Amino acid sequence: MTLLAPDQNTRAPGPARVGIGGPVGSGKTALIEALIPVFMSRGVEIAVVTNDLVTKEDARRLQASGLIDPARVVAVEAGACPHTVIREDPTLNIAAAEDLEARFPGLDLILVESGGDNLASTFSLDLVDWWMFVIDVGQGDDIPRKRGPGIMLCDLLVINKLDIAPHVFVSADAILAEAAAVRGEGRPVIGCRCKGTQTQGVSEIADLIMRDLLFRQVPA
Amino acid sequence: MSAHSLALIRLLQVSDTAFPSGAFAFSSGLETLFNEGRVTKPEGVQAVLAEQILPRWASFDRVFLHAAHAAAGDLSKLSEIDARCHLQSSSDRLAHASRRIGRSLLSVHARIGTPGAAAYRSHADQPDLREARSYEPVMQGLIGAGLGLNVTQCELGAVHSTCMAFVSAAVRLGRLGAIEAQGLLAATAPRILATLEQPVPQLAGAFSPFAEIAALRRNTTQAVLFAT
Ligand SMILES: Nc1nc2c(ncn2[C@@H]2O[C@H](COP(=O)(O)OP(=O)(O)OP(=O)(O)O)[C@@H](O)[C@H]2O)c(=O)[nH]1
Ligand SMILES: [Mg+2]
Repeated sequence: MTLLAPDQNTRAPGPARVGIGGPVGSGKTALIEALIPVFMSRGVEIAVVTNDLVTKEDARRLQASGLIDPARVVAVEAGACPHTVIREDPTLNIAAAEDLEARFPGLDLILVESGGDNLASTFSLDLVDWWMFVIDVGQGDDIPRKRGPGIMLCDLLVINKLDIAPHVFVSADAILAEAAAVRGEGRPVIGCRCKGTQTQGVSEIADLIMRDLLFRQVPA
Repeated sequence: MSAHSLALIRLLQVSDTAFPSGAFAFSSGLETLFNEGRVTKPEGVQAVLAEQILPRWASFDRVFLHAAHAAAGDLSKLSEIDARCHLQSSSDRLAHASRRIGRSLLSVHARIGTPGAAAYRSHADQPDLREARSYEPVMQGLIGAGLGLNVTQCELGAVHSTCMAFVSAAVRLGRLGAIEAQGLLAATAPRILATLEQPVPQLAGAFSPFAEIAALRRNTTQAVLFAT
């Protein structure tokens, strides 16, 4: 039995789609702001879809940042359900990504930022090829131990705001080690700081995305 | 019997709120009506549904659904019906919402192989048509025909989706309990039936100013959860 119509199922080899999920305020938009110049310097053409919970705030912030052509950033409303637009009913996000693809034919990468949600949120693989989950040290050092689907199932776990760890009584090394142990062998965890003069971990995240996604269509 | 049951199985599938259609991000003006204090109680939600949303569906969307169901398989005729829906949509924001939902439906049905969906998607994807085609009722008619639904089943599914989307927006806005919502739908059922028993109008026209203007007035500076 075929589950999907054979010629509809596979997407054309368009841009890779990367999901960025995680709790409210963990630094998802800040990470995108930090990743944009890194990708641009590597010649990777990108666009962004944001799913703000209540406003187009994140989209406006990126559009006003001067980092990216504002036309390459679109907002999709989440109807009060940030997890629905990325999981149960990702159709509006799929349509937004398709629109970007049609308008910018040379795109390599589309980043989809989920509205801040809880530890159970995951991305539908109908929408993205690969996704990361961003938490931060300020949310408590026990977060990895809670093993939510977001933490366990993502392709990359990012632990952000390492710079403030001492101020919230968290050991950065311990939380990174615990996260790696909980996720298991071969499941990457990257510690990061994406704000301030000295960023950390951002280029490693870009490396991983490029390795896992952008080189996949290169013939051997 | 078995062809009839098969059609019903498909109707139940595509009318379920678990079916991804994008409709959950639209409140048809209800969010603004709540924010402005014009609707405050469950009775108000029911009144807007019965007096604004249902009549709008019956006098406008229903006409295009019928035309599209009858034209299924004929790409140029479908496109012409879609274009008429585009030209007759007076509220830009509601038109945009209808296109987005229609596009989502088309995309999902193309992926699951519903007959007619992929062909129409390729047509509506042309750059000059992207902002002028794939209206929700036209897509519902075309997809319903592809699923083997007769036009009555097709419009039952469509009116159900419209009511569900509206009521579930009220639930997600925190103004209606989940059980209260079901009570409201039960109480509205005779009204839905009466709507369907009316003859389909010859010409499409919409006059639901309370909800339409609310959808247009949507305040973009304030926090908003829904696209309409
Ligand atoms: N100290 C420190 N602050 C950071 C870092 N990354 C982000 N922030 C701050 O954390 C706050 C939230 O960052 P955002 O990027 O808006 O978080 P978000 O995950 O996009 O938030 P939502 O979209 O609302 O869920 C902002 O005040 C950022 O300046 C970091 O690495 N270190
Ligand atoms: Mg954000």
